[in-house]
Order: sequence, then C-alpha cells, then structure tokens
Amino acid sequence: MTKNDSIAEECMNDTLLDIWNSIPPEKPKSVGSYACMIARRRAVDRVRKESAKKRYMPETEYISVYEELAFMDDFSEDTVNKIEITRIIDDFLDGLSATNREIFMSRYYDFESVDSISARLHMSKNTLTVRLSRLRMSLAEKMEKEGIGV
Amino acid sequence: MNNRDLFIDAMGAVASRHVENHIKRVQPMGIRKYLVYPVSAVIYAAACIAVLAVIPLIVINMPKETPGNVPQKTLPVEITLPVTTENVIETTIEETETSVLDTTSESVTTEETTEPVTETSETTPAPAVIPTETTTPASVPEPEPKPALQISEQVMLSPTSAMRTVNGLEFKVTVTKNGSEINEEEHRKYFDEETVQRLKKYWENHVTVHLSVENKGNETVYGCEYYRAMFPMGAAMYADGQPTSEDPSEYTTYLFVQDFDPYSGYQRAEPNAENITFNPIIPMDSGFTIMPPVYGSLYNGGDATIGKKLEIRATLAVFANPSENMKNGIFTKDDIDDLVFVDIVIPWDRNTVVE
Repeated sequence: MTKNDSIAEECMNDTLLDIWNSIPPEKPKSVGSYACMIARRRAVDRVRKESAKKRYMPETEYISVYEELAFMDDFSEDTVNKIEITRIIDDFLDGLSATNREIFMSRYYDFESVDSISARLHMSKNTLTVRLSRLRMSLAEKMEKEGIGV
Repeated sequence: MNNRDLFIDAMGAVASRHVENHIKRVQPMGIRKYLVYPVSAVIYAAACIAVLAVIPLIVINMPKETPGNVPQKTLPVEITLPVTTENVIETTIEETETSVLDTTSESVTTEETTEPVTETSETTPAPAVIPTETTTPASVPEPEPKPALQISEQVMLSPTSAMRTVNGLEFKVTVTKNGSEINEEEHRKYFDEETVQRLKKYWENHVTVHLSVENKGNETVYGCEYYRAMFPMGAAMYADGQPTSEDPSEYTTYLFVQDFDPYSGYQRAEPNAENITFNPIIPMDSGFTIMPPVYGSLYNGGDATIGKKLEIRATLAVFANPSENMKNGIFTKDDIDDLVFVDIVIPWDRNTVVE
C-alpha cells in the first residue's frame, strides 16, 4: 500500500507494538484478522499523514481507490456515520458471491491493484473493472435503501 | 473527514469473519497452501478422464446412417436427348447415392455419330449430376429429327427399395428378406458345428432382390435383360459356408448375363464375333415386367469385419429404335451404338436387417 519499504517497516513495527499493548485486555477471536485490521489502520494513517504533509509519495493504490470512491460524495455527510456504514458493508459482503466478495475485499480492504487481482483470480482486467463498478453501484443502492441520505 | 475516508475506515472495521475468509483465500496457511496444486491436478485429471470416458460412449451411441435411417431424397434430373434413326445414341447412366452406406450418382454419356455403322464415334460426356434440364448440343445436323427421347428420372431410395424412372421406364428394386431355417440336426451329420452355425445364419438372412422394369411411357421401347450381382468377399460363400476368399479387397462377382453383356463379359469373350444371338428383344409395353427377380443372397453372419457391403448392378439394354434384325434377336457389333444402357447400382449394407 505504501510502496515504500522503510514506511512499510515502520508500519509493521507500530502494528506489533499496538498488538502488544492491546492484548490483553483485547481478546480477539482471530489474531490474524485482528493484526490485519491494525496493520491496515496503521498503513492508512501513514499514507494519509504523508499525503497531508505533501511529501513525496509514489503513486499508491490508496490514491486510485480513493478516486474510485467518488460515489460516496453523493451522500450527505450528516447522515453518514462509520458504524452504520460498517454495518451496511457487512450486510453487503454477506450478500455477495465468494468471488465478488474476494474482489471487493482485495480492492477496498487490501488496496490491491487491479492488475494483481485479475492475475490472481484469472480474470481479464476489463472484466474486473466492470465487476468493481457494479459492486460499487449496488453498494450505493444498498446505502440509499438503508436510509443514508443523498 | 469526508465520506471517502469514512468508507475506507469503515472497511477497516468490517466483521472479522470477512477478513478471516479473505486472508485464507489470499494467503492460504498451513496445509492449505500445499493443497492448491494437487487439488488442481486432481480436478484436471478427473476432467480429462471424464472426457475420455464420455467421448467413446457418444461415438458408440451415435446413430449410424443405414439405409433404414437415411432420409429419402428426391433428385429430379431431366435430360433431353434427340433420337433419330440416323443418329445413334448411347447413354450410360451410373447411379451412386452419396451417403455413408449408399451411393447413387448419375453420369450420362451421350454419343452421337452421323453414320450408324461407324464404330470410331466420339463420346461427349455430359455432367455427372444435372439438377436442371440439360439438352444435348443440337450442333450435329439431323436430317429428319424425330420427337426427342425424354429421359427424366427420379431417384428415390427407401430402406428396402430403390426406384427410378428413365424414359418412361420405371425401374424398381425391392429387397426382401425371406430367410429360412435349416435342419440343424441334418446338417450336423455332414458339417462341423461352426459351419452349421454359419449356414444357419446364411439362410436366416437370405435376401432376394427383385428388379423389375415397367414401361409407363407412351412409346414402345425394346430391351433385353442383362443383370449381374456383385458380392463383396465374405458375402458369397461356398456351399459349406466358407467365404470364397480371404482377401478383403477381393470382390466376388456373380454375373447373370443373358446372352449379351455389352460391357465386359460376353462381348470381350468373343471380340470377333460377327453376330451375337440373344433373346429377342421384347417390346416393353406398359405394365410388362421385363426382368425376373434377381437372385441375391446376402450373408449376414460370419466374420463381420469383412465384406460389409453388397453391390448389385443391374444393366438394361434399351433400344430406342431397334432394327428388324435386333427385333429378331440378331445383334451385330454395329448395333452397339444403338443402345441405351441403364446401369443401376444398388448399394446395400448386408448388416442391415431387411423386413
């Protein structure tokens, strides 16, 4: 995600420290997913920080994912809250097929590049892009249905 | 924080089950990462085996095109041939039906000479299969043109019969099964068991081929009969049930030639004969059957790997304008050009059950 080895290493150290500090009292069901969640949060924070400082950041997938999420701008900020969005995304993921769920998670959780996902799932890049677009549209529809104001 | 950042953060907080499944898929751990390739290999091998096992079944179950299930075809061919007393016409029609087991095609050669006694006449072959009307070139001067001899034929094949009409003559071929049972006990006195079983099969599958010709046209046409049956090796047998030859490429030919075989037999045997006597040509009036049933025995048993097809050829010599000599049964070499030969090929699969 960071496209920088030293930053990635720092994120890793911060993640391990966070895990060390948080367990206990936290008792995660899955240590792997818990560590993953912390690492992601650390990496996202770091990328945001670097971007805010206008430092040099190579073209990261974070940027392209960020651009893809333009549909979120249609929703009113007053009606969007993180817990509600998380619940909607959970429901949305539950309703997806395994492949679509894999695509969605790879792109918006791991910030994996389209090329990498298409190669891993043996899909053409075009097919993957179309699928992602449809997934975003259906998520937006679901959010509207769930009462997120436009 | 705008909505996009909020979404990214919300994604980071999705239920751990989704993250867990995702990690398992992206990064298989433990024995799972070793199972990827063997599982793929097993699936691939299973698919290959399934395909290899299914293809022979499909091929075996494919319906074979036997005379029984070959769709009936109607090939109307109409050819106009001018016939005069001076002009000599020789027409040979071969019939071969294109199918897996049957073949019927037609080729027409027309020979015209200005003098009927000339032997060195030129031959002008016409197209083999003419789906439309064809007229022979009228460039040859005809002093006294007579009404054209219309040859219109219709080929119809059915499982047990083939019929076509040429020049008003209807050729009808019917194959009927009239097998009989043998007295096995009696045969066992003279033959071993294998031979008895062969003979049993032979007589059970005895088939008679009827070839009849009826004149349904308006004109009186004369003809003499000539027919032969060709059996592939294995179809014909000696009396003890043994095939006549062990060579699969060899055809055993039975010739039933009555007095005259313009193609091979009789004439070649006596090339210098001045006159050939044959049965008086018969006016083929309406309803008259010129040909008696052609005898044919199809051996349907024994070694099925050889001699699977039977071919019966029947040739009729038709005289459009016979001379008085010919009507009296005296045929000279010069008269050969005055013939219309109709050569019928009846392809037959001896393994086909004839009811």
